[in-house]
Amino acid sequence: MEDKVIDAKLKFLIYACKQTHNFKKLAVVSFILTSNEIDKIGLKLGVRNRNKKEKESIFEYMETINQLFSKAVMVEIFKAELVNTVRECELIFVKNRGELPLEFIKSMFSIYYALRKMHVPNINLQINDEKLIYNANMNAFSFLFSQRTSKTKGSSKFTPLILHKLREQEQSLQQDLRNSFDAVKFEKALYLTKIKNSLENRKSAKIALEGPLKDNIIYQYSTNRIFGYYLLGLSILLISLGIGIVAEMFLLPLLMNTCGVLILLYFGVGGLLLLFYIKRFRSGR
Amino acid sequence: MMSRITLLFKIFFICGIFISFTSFFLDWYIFQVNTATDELLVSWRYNIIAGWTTPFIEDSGINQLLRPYALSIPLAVNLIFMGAIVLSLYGLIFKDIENTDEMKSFIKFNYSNLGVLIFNGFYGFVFPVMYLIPNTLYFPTFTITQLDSGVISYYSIGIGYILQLIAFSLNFPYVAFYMDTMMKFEKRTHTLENKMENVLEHLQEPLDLDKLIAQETLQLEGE
Repeated sequence: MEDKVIDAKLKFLIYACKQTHNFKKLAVVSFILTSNEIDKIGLKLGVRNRNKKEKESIFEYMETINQLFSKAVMVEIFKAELVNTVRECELIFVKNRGELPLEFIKSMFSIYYALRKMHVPNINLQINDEKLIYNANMNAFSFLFSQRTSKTKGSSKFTPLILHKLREQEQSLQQDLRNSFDAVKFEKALYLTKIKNSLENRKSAKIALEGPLKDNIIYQYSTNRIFGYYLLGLSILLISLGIGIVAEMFLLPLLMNTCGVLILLYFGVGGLLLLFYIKRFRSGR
Repeated sequence: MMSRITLLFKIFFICGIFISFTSFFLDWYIFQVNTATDELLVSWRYNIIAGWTTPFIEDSGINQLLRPYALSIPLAVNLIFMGAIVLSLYGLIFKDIENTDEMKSFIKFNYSNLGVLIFNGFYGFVFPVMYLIPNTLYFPTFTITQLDSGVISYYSIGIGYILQLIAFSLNFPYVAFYMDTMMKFEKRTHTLENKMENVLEHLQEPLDLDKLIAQETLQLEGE
């Protein structure tokens, strides 16, 4: 249901309940709406679902989300006052079996609207096209520097520098978010964390695709790598044949003199191709 | 449409697969002994399916005497290889990884492609090292002339084996590239939002505001 429709209906319901003095119904509705909104936020943030069978309360779930995001990005999604108000209202609501004083009902509705206003980003859809290009630029940036200086797999001398810059940005965003929650800044903080993690552990990082593979710019630029694989395949083949002949020499030593040229040919050409592949296609990855 | 580069290597891969398949029916190793007058004394040809065969109709004693040892490559290996070839060929002809919205369904084709490549490699490397050399069948090509008798022995890999090597070099770029691509890219399904809505439907408590309003309106009218 659209928010506008909900608002209109809610307005009407509040008016009707006021007339009938049926505040219990309003209390229940305010809790259901808040509970549903919290479920939605949890799902969007990729947190486990609220354990309703175990009667996990709304405020407990909010605290869980806060704990998780404090650890992951040093950001508390829900402010402490908000959680405390929910706790207060919820405990009275449960204790009184659905009865809630009017001021608490008002608080619950304002919490519901506060949650709705948060516009929490959907982590599952976090990387959009724009960010993919940003990601590609990040890779290109590190690639530019790593061509001559790379020492370890998938890492460059400049990776710590990039990571440092990312951490700085991340900390500044976290500071801003501590003061007031901003969906855009939060999304940015999450994204920075993701890039940081992917830089720290490049092997496990995957690039998310929106459309078909052929429409992806990173894929289009990466098709040239296939030539590299062609060279790699040839070098593997030649080196394998060379190893085969070396094995033959060890098993049948009388062939030692005859096989020398062949070994030189296979290992030489194979090695050259491998070297060319590493220099041209591997070092700049 | 595929990009020209990937199309080129896809054609390479199709050729590689056909060459692989064809190689099953050709000679993989040839062993011949000729006299000084170029008379054929011994002739054995090895085929991956049929084993050692000789062109002699009436087999002479010396031909039988110099018959090479049986190279026992398990039949199951050949059958798995053929299965992988068929699956890869199906994937190549009827599926297009670049245009698909279901990238996960390509995993099995990618693995079958990898299977074909591994078998190419197995035959290219393991066949000489594990089967030929231990049986004193020289690799790749040797001619031994016995000076006293003038008998010439030819040991040579056959066209089937050479085709297998060519197939490996043709198959490698396409298979490696798409294995790498599958590892690097993950498909985000377009239905993710729909899926989330479905999950939310199950997760959230149902709230029929219309019904609640109607109940209150009825009560008001009753009063």
